[in-house]
Amino acid sequence: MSASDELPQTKPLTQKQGGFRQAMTWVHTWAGLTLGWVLYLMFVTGTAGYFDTEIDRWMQPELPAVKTAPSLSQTAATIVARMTQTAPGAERWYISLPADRNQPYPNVFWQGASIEDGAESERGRLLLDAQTGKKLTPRDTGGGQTLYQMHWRLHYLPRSYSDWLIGIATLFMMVGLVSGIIIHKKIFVDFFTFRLNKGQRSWLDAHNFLSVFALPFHLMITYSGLLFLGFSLMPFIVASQYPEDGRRQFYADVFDPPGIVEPAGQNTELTPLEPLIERVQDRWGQGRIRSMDVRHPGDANARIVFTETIDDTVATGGETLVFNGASGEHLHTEAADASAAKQVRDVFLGLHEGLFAKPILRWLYFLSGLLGTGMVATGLILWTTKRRQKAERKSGPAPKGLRLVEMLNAGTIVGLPVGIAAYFAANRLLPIGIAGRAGWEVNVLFITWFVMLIHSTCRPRQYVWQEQLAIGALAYSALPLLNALTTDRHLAQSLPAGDWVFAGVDLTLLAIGLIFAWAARRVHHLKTRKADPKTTHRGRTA
Amino acid sequence: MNLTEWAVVGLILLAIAAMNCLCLTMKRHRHALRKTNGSVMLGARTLRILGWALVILNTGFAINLFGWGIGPVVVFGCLSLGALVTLGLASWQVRWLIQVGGASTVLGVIATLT
Repeated sequence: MSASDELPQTKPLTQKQGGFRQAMTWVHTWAGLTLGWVLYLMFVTGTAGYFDTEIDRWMQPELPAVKTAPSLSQTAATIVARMTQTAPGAERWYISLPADRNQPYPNVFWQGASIEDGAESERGRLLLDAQTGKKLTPRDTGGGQTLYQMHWRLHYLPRSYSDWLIGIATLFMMVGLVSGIIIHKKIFVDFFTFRLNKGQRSWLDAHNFLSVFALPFHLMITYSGLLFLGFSLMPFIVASQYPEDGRRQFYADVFDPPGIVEPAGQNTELTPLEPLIERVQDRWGQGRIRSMDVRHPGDANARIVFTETIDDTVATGGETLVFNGASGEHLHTEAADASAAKQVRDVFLGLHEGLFAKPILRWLYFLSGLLGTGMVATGLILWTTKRRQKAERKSGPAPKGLRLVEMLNAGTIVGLPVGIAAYFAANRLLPIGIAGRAGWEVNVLFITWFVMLIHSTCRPRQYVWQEQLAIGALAYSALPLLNALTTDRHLAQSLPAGDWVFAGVDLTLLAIGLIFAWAARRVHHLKTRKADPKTTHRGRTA
Repeated sequence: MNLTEWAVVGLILLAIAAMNCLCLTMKRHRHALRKTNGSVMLGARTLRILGWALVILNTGFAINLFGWGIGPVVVFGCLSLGALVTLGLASWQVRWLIQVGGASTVLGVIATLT
């Protein structure tokens, strides 16, 4: 169609577009608000999750500093010798080796061990010192893992509920992104625009730049998030190809390494590991074995599955090699990209998790996560600023819905981070050795968050944000101090020693505290300015 | 820090430079700059070409260094940070856009190439 053909239609077309945009604005507003607080929790815990291993280590300060192991085959041999004592006759020893940042200490998970043959327990987990092979017994903690698990498992809920809640929230996020792109009229013109001190306009500018600057990240993270839940959200994919109770079979077919067989029931010595490890390292390079999965150790049908580390690829899957555990014969090689569909999935999941990211790139991931967190938070705040303005113009009390959203906003946007600070504090303060210690750390998180929500309902509206932000500032700045009082790995020690995990976590906590302090000051400042009729044309009290 | 980490620092600097250029093509910010008695010697068109050239250079370097898998992730991460830094400068210290832009171009190229 040429330009002249279009001209006469210009007016009706813009009206129609306006209608469409208006409809999309409605969708954007309500898709964003409905599960906005769940999305906020997902963004906060997911962003923290990019440093899950570092938080793990900060929360177990008694663990020795990570040193490179003398050699992988020596470490593996020590572990296997230990496991022969600890868990004989097991179905499986899953040995994770310290190949990269994601696994600082070697650890073993076992199941199906035979107590009759002298096993300590039927199943269990061991953390070991790479140097000596000795058992490490750090404090019981949820660590960074529990925090990160909350990102997709929430907490206290069975998976059948949480999967759906997370799934629908993710779908709403996707709807929010697409509708947001449609309704953002000046996406290029306003690219670098942030008008300060303009009330609702400033919030909208902030919401826009937080969304647009990391838009590729937001789209990737939401789309790949949906892929994670694909088998739950679209159960018919599996149901069409497998019998009714075939889900387990489906997962085994897709994810299990090939050539695993039932035990023969005949005792046979496990083949020496050193030659196998040498062969595998010749293929992948020194120290590049991520895990060693020993199935039915000590049986004639034993299998040893080696998995390659994934720190140099985006995808979550590495190459897998399967050996006969009795004879040492190489049986199967499963390529990382065994099928195109699985490869696509692995790449998206890998992009989402960012396990490959080296420190600086990891910080960029963290930053993108923070931008996403800010996007959700400013979106939620925008909903209230718009309606608050309208409500102030009318006489009478503000609508109940508005009050509710305002309370939930303050109590969650600041309350949840304060809860997380309490989680970290509980890690240092709860007595070591009490039953269910790790569980109590999480309980403290949720209790604190709940208290913050109560606070936002009890206090007059004009004090809520300021007070909550001040509490946040205090909580986060106190954490490095608490760390100094309860451990000897504080900033004065970690900085000179170059212990970047501890120094990094402490400094980040301090930085978050400062940001909260700055925000509290700013809220206070804006309030006094608003209250002073000389500096504002309307002179309305906040 | 090893060499590839320094290269990422270089790429971040290039992204900041690129975003500074693109920001200065906009009327609003050129106007704000004039109010502070600063001025850009380059025209909006030149800056736009320069900005996009820097983005392409950044992408080229990243893919060359990290391949097609990790490279684009690095590029988007750098551009997000670059845009954020630029926005901060444009909102609070608009005069620094030029200095920071120029310095990051030079340092960025050096860091990435070495």
